[in-house]
Amino acid sequence: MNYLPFLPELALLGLAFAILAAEMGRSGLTLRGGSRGVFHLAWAGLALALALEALASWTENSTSLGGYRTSRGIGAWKQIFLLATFATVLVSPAYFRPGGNARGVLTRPGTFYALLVLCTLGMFALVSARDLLTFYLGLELATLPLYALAAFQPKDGDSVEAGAKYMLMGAFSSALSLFGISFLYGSAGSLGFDALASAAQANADSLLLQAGVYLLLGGLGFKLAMAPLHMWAPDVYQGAPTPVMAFLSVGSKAAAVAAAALLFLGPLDSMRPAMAGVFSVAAVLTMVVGNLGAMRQTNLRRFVAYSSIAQVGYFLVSFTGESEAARVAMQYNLLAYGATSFALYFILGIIGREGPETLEGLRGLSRRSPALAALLALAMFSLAGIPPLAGFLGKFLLFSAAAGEGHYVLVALAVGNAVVSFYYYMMLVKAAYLMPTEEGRGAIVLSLGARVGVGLLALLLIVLGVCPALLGYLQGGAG
Amino acid sequence: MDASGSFGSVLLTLTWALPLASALVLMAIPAANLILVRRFTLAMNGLVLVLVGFLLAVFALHPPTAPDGSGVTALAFAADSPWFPSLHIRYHIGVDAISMTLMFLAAVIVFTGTLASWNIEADQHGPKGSGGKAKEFFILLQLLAAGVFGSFISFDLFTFFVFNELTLIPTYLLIGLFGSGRKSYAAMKLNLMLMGGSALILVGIFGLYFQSGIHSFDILQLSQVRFDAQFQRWAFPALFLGFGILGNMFPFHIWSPDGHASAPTAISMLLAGVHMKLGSYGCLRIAMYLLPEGAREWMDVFLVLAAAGTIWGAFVAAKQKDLKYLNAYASVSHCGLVFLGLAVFTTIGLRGAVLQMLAHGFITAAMFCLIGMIYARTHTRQIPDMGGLMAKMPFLGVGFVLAGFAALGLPGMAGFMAELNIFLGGFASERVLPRMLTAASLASIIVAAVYVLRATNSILNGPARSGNEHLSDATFLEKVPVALLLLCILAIGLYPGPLVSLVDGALQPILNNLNR
Repeated sequence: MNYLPFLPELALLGLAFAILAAEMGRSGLTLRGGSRGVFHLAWAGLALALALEALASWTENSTSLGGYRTSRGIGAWKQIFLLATFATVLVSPAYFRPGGNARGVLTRPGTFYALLVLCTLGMFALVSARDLLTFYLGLELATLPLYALAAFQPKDGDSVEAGAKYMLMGAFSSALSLFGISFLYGSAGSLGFDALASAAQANADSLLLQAGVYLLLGGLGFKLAMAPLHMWAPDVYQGAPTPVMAFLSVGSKAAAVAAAALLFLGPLDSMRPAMAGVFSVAAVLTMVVGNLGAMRQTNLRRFVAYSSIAQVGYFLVSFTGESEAARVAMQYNLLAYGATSFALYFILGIIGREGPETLEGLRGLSRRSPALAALLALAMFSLAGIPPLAGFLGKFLLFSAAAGEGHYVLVALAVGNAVVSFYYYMMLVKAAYLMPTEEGRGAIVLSLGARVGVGLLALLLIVLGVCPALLGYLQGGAG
Repeated sequence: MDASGSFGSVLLTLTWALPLASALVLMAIPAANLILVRRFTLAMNGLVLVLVGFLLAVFALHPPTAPDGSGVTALAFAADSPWFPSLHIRYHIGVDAISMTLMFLAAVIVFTGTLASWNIEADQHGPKGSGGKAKEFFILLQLLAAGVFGSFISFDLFTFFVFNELTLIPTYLLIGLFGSGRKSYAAMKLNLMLMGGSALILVGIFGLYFQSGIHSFDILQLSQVRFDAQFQRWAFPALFLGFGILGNMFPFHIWSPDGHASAPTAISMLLAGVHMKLGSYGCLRIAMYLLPEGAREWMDVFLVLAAAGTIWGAFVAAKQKDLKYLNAYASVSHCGLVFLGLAVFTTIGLRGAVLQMLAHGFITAAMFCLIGMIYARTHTRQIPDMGGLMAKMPFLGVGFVLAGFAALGLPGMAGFMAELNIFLGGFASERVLPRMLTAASLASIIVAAVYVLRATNSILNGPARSGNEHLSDATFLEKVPVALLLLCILAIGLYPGPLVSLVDGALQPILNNLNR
């Protein structure tokens, strides 16, 4: 038995407890500098897990251990989760530093990082699951820590509200999923994915099976913020601390997309052609709700929420496509979207130091800091899907998956929505470039680290759009 | 391809790589060093102009020829290497006579546009705060140029699309930051309309890729695929309309008057002169060439739109008081003629359309250039507020007269050759509708004479306005672009023979496809 493929999971588990222990023992065990100590522990541990995961994916093609399986394709999902968590950790320290954020300071960094890491572990279990029980376990572990994280500013009413709302909605969606899983168990006679696959092939018309599938889709739809189950997203994004919002919109979204992909491109693959209509309607509805909603926002967090809902719609488009093309497209777009989003959160972090995270706060950014404004423009053009930036190739792949199966009308509607999205993404560019600076706001001086960050993010947005290497890597992950 | 071919393809790649690289270098030059920023940009664009001129000369001496009856375009300076191998996306470049001459048009306009933007820093009549941003202007200009050059040489649909879209980012910012009037509105309208067009194009490209059965984005390979009629029926209008929006086709032209009037001079020149040609070029090269059966089915619809645009644009232009709007609506009329030439579906008509792309490119660029220079002196673009300028600025005045004559189709100028071919092509059609609509479109020529002569007379003759006494004529740096553009207009008008035979050679494979 080769345990290498499971080392990343073990590393994450160990990391979560190590961080907790370090925080508990802070007085005695003296990690120098309090929050800095656990911060370094967290990112170093995640980097280690990422290295182990890359090693495991490259050396082992496919390994299973009971209801738990890893492969290169699954490894790619896990690497995406780890990158999202890693990026979240990297943007977080400012929010623990007094004066680092106008909205107030976060405390207990150790708990924060430990919860993040546990959440990532849950995502790992979610994508490695080979039976519905492990799947559900992963789903819960990936969600529960987020309730606490959303409410991580207990003295801030918005944050508490976000946590409570997210938990209520989350509990409801978990119940839906569990209900669906019980139906699937009833119709397949087993919790295993293989039994489910043969049941889906043999009697796809069975009402019991269909009920189970749609309930599960509903449960995942909540996690995805798929319209009309998206209502929680704007409130939670607005209330949650910024790093948590970042993780919700990238990491948690990646997990939800991965979960849906693993089920519907996996054991339920044979049902997808019949469900193309459902996915199409859901995709169009989600895109339209997200795009129309985003147009009216001035609070950048709510803006991000609606824009991310629209992005979910683009992901849903690819669910009508051929499974391998769809998987690669989703993974690629998660990376592209994630990189672009973190570029935006990076900017928000700097803006949020002295003012509100609103459109107003962005005014005149091009004069206060040309580099930040340029990065913002790149990020917005990328989100709007303009080549040669990352977001374009991501959307191109998603839509081409659907077009490959002949869903041209859906693709036309999706591309049309991308055009509409250009309008509101440009509102940010307009604020940064065309509007005068507010009175009393001086130039933003970037530290050396921040300048390197801006450069790297900008480079990443371009490289992801034109460099074929990463795409080849993801496509190599079949099986 | 032999060694010289691969050397040529490297030069061809440089046409977009140099502007892109110069944009990166410009970022490193301190904004305060305005002299270096301007000189560097001019040197780079001059280099590109020389490069493209050299390629054109080589091309004209040894034009590649397709075998008789072949529907595959013969390319010069071709190169073909994988980009995203798993998606069958390739960096396939090359030029035929149509793209080669349009490349030359682009190179001339980018170069003259750089000269016309020389004083972008000193322009006090832009918005407050646009001063000190000259560096940004030139960076964005270079990006726009890179996108335009890259589009014209791409024979891979994906690559073409990427380059074409690359122009949107700088366009939005250039109009938004450096424009005048309702610039923010104009920039957004222009970009949304063009992206809408791109959306249609993208869907069409997906269709071509998947329905071809060969999973290819390569234009030359796709040109040999006979797509089924059902597919062509929806894909052709999607592509033609998508490119038509970019090409200023009535009634989807509504972005262009606002966009071109609000843009700074060089950007108006580049957008109206070159960028819009990407649209009509795409209509011909992609929609008609790849989907000939769809083209036959839909041509009457687009014929009506083309004729309507030609006539409507001319009449609206005649009502304008703002010089830039006048030229923008004249562009609608002249671009309508391009589409008329395409849609009459005859050999002569297509030739006329290609000539008109070139002619309109040079003429409208010259007009926008002159209008920008006049505006920089009078600080107004309103025709009634000007007068007697000929006495104050004879060079600009004569230039304006010549450009105006070219716009109204005076023989000996580029516009005449193009329009002559389009109308002859229309009358050469065997069907009644094209002939009728061609006859109706002739009205635009008369109206063009009215608006051009009236505007010219009103701003150049008569008594000088008070406050205009101290106006000066063009500086040397301003004379160069005007002279260069007028030279090109006259060259095409006076000696069109070589150009026509080159274009005819390149049209042959397209015609073979259309008539198959």
